[in-house]
Amino acid sequence: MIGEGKEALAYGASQAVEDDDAPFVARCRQGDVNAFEVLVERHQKTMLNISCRMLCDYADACDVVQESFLAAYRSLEKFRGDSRFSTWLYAIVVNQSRNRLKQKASRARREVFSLDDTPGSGGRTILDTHSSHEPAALDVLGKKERDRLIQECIGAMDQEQREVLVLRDIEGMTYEEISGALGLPDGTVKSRLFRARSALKNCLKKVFGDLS
Amino acid sequence: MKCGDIEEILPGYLDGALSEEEKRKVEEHLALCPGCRECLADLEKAVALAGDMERLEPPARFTEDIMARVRKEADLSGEPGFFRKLFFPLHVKVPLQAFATVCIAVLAMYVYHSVGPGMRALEDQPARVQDSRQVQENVPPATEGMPAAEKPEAAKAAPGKAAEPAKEKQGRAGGAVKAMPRDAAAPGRELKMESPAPPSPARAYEEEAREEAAAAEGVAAPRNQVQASPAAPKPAQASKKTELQGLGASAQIKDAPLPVHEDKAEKARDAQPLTKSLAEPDQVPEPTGAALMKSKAALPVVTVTLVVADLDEGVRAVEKILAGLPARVVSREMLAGRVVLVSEIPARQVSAYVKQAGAAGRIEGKSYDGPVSEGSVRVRTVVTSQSE
Repeated sequence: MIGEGKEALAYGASQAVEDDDAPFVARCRQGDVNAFEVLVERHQKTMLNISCRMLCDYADACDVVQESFLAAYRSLEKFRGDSRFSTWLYAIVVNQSRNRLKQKASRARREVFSLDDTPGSGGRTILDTHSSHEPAALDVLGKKERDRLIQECIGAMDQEQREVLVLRDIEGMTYEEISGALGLPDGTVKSRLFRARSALKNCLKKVFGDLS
Repeated sequence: MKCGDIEEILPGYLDGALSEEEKRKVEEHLALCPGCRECLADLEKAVALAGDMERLEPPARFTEDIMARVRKEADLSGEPGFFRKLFFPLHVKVPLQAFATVCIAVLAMYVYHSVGPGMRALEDQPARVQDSRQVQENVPPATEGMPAAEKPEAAKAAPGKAAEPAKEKQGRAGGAVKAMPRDAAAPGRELKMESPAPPSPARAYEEEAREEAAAAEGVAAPRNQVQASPAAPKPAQASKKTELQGLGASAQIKDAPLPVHEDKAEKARDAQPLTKSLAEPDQVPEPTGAALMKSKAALPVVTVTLVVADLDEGVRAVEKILAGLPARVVSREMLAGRVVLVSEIPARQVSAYVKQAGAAGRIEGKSYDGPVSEGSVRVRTVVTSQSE
């Protein structure tokens, strides 16, 4: 605990933050690239899931995660240590994912015919697809199919709501961590989350019918 | 509260984020409204479904691909700065470097203290050798082709720098060896012979003792001779003066001030007529105070007059002969049309010297002053050109 506290103070933070990543971050700053590999191993899965849930595209998410780690390595000196390293890292991947969404949206707008279901692109969403269909019963769907449909519902949501939903209900982050990652007040995070949950519920009811 | 209002805050209720008042109102409504209870249930299910989604796995070699790009980035950003490379990590490199510095300092001090005294002793030796070389070089180069009138002045001016090291050596030798007077330090070539310009104190004492012994035996006679016939040199001097003037030599030579360290006894002895002289008095120039190293009774003097075709060549030949002997050159004078070399050679070498000198030119006169059978002899070789 004391060692970790010292490491945290090495960041220049005003308050010591308990962080298991602190020793490795310190070594990275001294030029030890191998220490950064440990951090990559620890957080790559979470970052991939956050990005994939936001982008609804696995390949794009892999690229975004690589770019996020690279950006983190470049700006390691800027990490002040006033939050956990993981929180700082997730903020980077959320920003990178937002940028990728903007690129895809602008690319989609340039296309004459948009056949893409890119979330937030204004195209057809899962709600439009399933509006005329009978909802698929949850208990007969395989897990994979179910997850795909849930993902589509998440992708159909507003980007701001999607972010808080992914971080809170999928990745299980605390309100404090979400506020730190998104740079938003606690109240804003909660209100967006409540709206996101309601939107998800409505979408899932339409897709699956009865959720009980 | 209405169902619509309740539905808006149900997510917060799900998270326990409502105030106590709002929570109470929601619970009161839920107890009475099955629709809102179903809505709450759907909300819980949706959140559960979202949280229950299978976590995606990274692709194979995902970490390696990321690290490859990171390491490439690290290489592109350049190696750590010089300071960073030198001192980081601090807890490893700084103690090592401090320890190495201390070791080097200790080693340097040890070497200095153990080798230093020896080095200082060696430094003194080259200074002594250099001084001896300087004194050897006191004999300035011959003034070839210079007008006769300028030669004496050249003789005076040239060894200006030589006089000072010579004087230094004099002081070091304890005064036993006197500095060559300026006038007497005539230009001459370097002689490859024993030329102990900086005689050591021990040698000076030896010479002094030998001279005193010689003085006790035979110096009295020359002195007596000087006293007995004080008037004798005068006519010779007068004729010599005339001769010198006739040669165009500067009268300054004869009238030149005597060297500071000239021995008066030597001067008187040289001025008197030679007792066994075979040469005509007027052909032997009056000595003008050749470098006289001893203040007390002098060695026997042998004067040899050598006539040569070319003065410079003749002087070189004589010097070469003297170099072949264990001779010590005392002085070299450039006079009007002639060069007077004064050297000291062992008595047993006199005959050989005269014989060799005869091969270089024509011996016109030999004179002996005092016994020459033992000890050292001072030889005055007057080299003159036959055109004179």
